[in-house]
Amino acid sequence: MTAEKFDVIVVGAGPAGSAAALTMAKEGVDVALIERGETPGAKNVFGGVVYQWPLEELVPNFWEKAPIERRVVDHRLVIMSKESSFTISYRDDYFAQNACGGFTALRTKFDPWLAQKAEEAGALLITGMAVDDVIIENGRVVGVTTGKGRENELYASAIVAADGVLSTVLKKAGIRGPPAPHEVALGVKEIIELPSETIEARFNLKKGVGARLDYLGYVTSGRAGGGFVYTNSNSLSVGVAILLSDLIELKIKPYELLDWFKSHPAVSPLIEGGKVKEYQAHLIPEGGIDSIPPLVSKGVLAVGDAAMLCLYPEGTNMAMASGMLAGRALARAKKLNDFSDSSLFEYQRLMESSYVVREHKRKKRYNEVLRESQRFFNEYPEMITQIMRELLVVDGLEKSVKHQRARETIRDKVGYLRLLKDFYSEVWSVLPW
Amino acid sequence: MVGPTLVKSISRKIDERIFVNRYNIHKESHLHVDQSMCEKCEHKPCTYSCPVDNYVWDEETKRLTVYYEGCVECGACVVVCPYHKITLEYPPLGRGINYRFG
Repeated sequence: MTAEKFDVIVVGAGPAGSAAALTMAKEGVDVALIERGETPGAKNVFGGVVYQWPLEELVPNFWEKAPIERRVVDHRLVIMSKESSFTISYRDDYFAQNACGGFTALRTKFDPWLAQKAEEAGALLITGMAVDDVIIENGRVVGVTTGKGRENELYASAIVAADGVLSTVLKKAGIRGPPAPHEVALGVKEIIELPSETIEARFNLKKGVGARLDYLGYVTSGRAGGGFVYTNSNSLSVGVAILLSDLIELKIKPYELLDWFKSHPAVSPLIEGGKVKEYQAHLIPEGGIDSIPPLVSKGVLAVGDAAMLCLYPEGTNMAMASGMLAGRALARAKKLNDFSDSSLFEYQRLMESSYVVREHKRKKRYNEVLRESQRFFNEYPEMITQIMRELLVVDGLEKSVKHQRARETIRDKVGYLRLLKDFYSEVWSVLPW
Repeated sequence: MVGPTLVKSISRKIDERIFVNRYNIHKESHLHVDQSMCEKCEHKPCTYSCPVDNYVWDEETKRLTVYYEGCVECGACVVVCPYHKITLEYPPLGRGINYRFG
């Protein structure tokens, strides 16, 4: 059997890979989409929210047929301290239109759906096939191997590395190795089953719409991390994420952090009586712009988690956008019949002027803030809840005295200048907005 | 091809947690550990960072036992090993963890 040759091989049928394959197949590119799981999504984990962009560009009117669990109409940010919490909620039924406020999803439903779109457009989807090496000729990656022997070699004019945060393609091609502990967070999550009526009653929802609760502050023992509770149709996605460098120092087991989170008074009543249906874990790129490897090198285009593109809480949309742009650059290369790196560099150019790289530039201190600022994960939440507790207990002490005490607490614990600077710049690196 | 199997033995505490997961266990481990540095490794972060407790250090035999069967293929072990002695080669043929929800 002779080795197969395609225009492009996409390694990994997650959101990035399927977006790339779909974009190319629509333009008549001969593309193979290889997935190591039995089905797309079988190996994948995410928090749970997919956004409108760029899905609407990939699949027009996606809201009519995508496997949406619930359209998010209530966005809650919960600032959590050890014992209490302070919640900001923005609820807007406008978000239900066209799922423009995002929607919750399960990867084992969403990923096969998007991969199927690529297949329908003409991509060849191969599942249950793990890439174990790349074929290099004259310093360029010309194919991949999926086992020993020539029958397990696949060739292409270009390769899309959409194989996740631990990308085998990028490692074997010598583009980047595994990330450093401070560049990734470990997310652990449970799918907790509850009747849909119970979810709707607990979260104050109507049928089909949902709430996302993002917990910031003292979620992972005062270290950089966060937690979430997202509503699916008849289950909740409940999880925490912590920087691996912090986890190493804390010497605590990841599931102990999850259990602590689940027992917090701001979480436990929401999940009470639910049945755990799955326990999951995944690494999340958190390195910010400095962790992004060369997007085009040796005939390989890096997309999604493989390209370390993720800014809390946006990962899936960054993945799909990068895949889409890589797909466009490759479709252009096919038309020009020029797959050289200088032609493929179009992907880099498209990325530079896109939301994806611009957002990474805007949050250029993202990783530093996560690593250095204990204030957001410990001091501020503690301070806010302490002040609120004092203000809300009516005990005969005048409010003016309480306000003065609050000012003193702020001055002594952080200082006004620090507070101003944090509010002006740093906090926008960790907020989901 | 071996059909999906559930991890049945409740011998370790973590097994109660991963019992709900669906695995299609491969006959060979996809985790490879070069144990030459383990004894010298001060904190052994693989033994507490792994979300499914795959790595257990035996102080008597000075060996690391790797329970690859319950692995969720997250790769935390690869990243936390201070000597970069752990490699994860994804299992072939769709074997390993097979999420039902994701």
